[in-house]
Amino acid sequence: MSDAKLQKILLQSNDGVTIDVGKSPPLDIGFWRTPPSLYRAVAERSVLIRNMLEDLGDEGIGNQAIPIPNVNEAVLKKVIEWCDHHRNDPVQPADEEADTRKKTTDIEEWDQKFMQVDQEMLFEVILAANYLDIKPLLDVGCKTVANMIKGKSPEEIRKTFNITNDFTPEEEEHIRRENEWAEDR
Amino acid sequence: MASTSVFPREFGDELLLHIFADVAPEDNLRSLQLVCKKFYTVANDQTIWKRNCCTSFRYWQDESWFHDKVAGDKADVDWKDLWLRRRRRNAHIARLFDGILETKVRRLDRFRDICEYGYDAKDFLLEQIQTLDDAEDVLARRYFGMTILDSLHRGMAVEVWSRLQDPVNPPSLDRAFGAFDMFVLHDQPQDLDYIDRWFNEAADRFRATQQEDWHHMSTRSKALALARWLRTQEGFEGSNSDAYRNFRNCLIGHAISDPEHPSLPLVSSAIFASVATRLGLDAACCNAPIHVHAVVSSPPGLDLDGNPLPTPDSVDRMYLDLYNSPQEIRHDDLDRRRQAYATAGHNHPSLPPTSAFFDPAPLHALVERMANNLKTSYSSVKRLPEDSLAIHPLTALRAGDPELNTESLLYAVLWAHLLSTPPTSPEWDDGLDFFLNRFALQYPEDAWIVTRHLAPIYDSFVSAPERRGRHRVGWENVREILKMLGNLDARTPVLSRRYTREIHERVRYKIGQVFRHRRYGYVGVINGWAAPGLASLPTPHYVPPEEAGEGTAVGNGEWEGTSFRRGGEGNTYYTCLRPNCDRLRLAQETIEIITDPGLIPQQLFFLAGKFFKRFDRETCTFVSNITEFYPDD
Repeated sequence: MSDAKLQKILLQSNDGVTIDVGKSPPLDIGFWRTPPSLYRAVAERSVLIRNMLEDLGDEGIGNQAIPIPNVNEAVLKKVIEWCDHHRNDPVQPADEEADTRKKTTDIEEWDQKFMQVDQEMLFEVILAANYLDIKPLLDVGCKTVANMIKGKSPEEIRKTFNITNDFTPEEEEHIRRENEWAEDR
Repeated sequence: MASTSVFPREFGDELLLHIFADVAPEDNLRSLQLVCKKFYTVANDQTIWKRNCCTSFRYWQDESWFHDKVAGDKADVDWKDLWLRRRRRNAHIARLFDGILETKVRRLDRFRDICEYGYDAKDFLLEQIQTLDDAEDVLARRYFGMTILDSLHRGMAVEVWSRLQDPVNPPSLDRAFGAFDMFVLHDQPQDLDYIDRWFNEAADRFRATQQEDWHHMSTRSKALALARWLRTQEGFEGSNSDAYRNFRNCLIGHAISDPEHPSLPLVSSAIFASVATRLGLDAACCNAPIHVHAVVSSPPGLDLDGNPLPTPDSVDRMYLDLYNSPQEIRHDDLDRRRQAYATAGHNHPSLPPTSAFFDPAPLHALVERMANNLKTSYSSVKRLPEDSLAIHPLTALRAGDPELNTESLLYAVLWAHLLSTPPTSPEWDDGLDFFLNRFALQYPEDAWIVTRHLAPIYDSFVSAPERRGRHRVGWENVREILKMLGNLDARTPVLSRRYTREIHERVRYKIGQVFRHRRYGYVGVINGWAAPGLASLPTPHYVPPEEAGEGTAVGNGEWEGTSFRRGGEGNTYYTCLRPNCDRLRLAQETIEIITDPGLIPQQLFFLAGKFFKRFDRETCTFVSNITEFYPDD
């Protein structure tokens, strides 16, 4: 295996900060004990980075930082924190159809705490997860937003996300009627 | 201030779709779609609604259509519209169901209306059965949910049997047998579709073990390979002899899904024939006395080994008995069985016909045979004392109360007899009065099934020239019984109020109180009273044999129909609910109120839902759902 050759993985955020995957919290406690293979497991939660590492090869990367042009430092650190906690998770099957039957908005406790951030950070994490292709993180982020919508009226949703209503009252009424499910017809 | 948020500005449709897919469909329709035009478009995406159709509903009346559409291309289905139609249907069912809980008037119509939705009603009914303990009307929801679901299942079973005589569109053997399972299915998954799927998959599994040259194999090699595979790989080895009469041995859905695969020879042969048929073999069962076996016929013009036969339409046959062995039974062995049967002094003085041993039996004869097996099992149970330990293995099934299941299977037997006997036969109505009695007293919710499937057969039976002149009354007349049930159902409740001090003093106990019978020791729940005398007791009710003044009583006693009885003026009478009887009459002095919930038999907590909303542990009473009769209790 090649991971012994790779000493560390550096990522560069769009605001120019270089982040050592192995040095992001909470790993910086006892950093010296962390085997190098771990950085790789953390970084490879991202399909984008995994593919890049494969394409470039360890020599190609050397000690250079990998640029992540769409993500800023704060968000990138947050994402690495998630990847680190989930570094040992089994890889999800790529098969999309496999989960059509189950649908759950249950989120495990650690992830729930992790997602307790201000709204903008949440959206940025989702966008980053989407860009970096980290499907489980994307799922958790989307579920968190879905839970914010749960049980809210249209007006409450608009307020929460600061969205302008672009329907006429007639259009609204029409949609309401179209979506009515009160009785068999 | 204008929004600076990245949401939803920088979220593409795909990302929004991802989020919206996790939003409950009700929230989607009620809120999401009304937020803004962009949300409206994405929230209407067909992929979301296809997924919602799969997650919101498990059972569909048109199951195969639905699965084909889910597996196929989405373009030809409007999934949102499908979801909405189904949801509206559920809303209508919920309204009918609430009506059932609210009043006893016109319950039969509502039972019918719900059951006519078929499997589209099943999800809703299963939800009612799973009502949480703290719900205000938990017992009523569970009772009626289960009662209607059971009726729905029986309706499907009877529909299958109604085609037993149909030469054009007869049911398959596995469905005809699976119909018995439907009478005791309750909330379990082993229904007719499950059974059909299981056989299709078994055929696929078997094919996967075979070589490429399968198509060139002879009929004989195929049949023998299948029998070997079923016994050694799948473990179909019949039942052991001391458990022979267990109900579950008669139920094909039970046999295939139980890891032990317990089965009678009849079921083993049917399992073999059902897999063989799906593999393209011409297989069936022979209705031989004592022990049924399977028969496989060669294609016309060829023998079992693939050699040409002298005439192009002659066939060759082989016989198998999966229950005993994977080997072929030789022709002369069968002949010996036939001789042995005759000499063993069975009730038939003459040799049974060769056809019983060598020809495929008609479907209705096999269903009749299965019904007889179940009847024998039923008699074995009834011969044992009520507290015998031997009853448990005989009646144990996956779900439901064993005692109620036993009665349910007898009811299945009665249905099967009526539908497997042609109405042209003069014996068609031999068990009719017994059937009608059972139906009216224990399963009136099946009035819709009787109306749909039995009444037309009855009409054709009585209109035969040789029977036309005879006047049929009461339990012999299907139409009359249906009419009587309809009248009872439509009757407005008669109020019994505690107007006067005298009534208060006379009627010491209230609706919902739990008691033990002073003399007989059984536990029951009070569900009716009259002050004074018998005249205003709710009808119909049973009169216990020991208290019935005149005539001989059977079973739980005489059934008091619509006629009012006078007498007993000096006493206060009640009716009660007890296991296996929903209104038994008793006198006040036989009642001893109990306050320990631990003494109440489990079955009563289910049956109580017919009259009560929930159980109150603190006071050890059931909370009344019959206030339209007893508003003051």
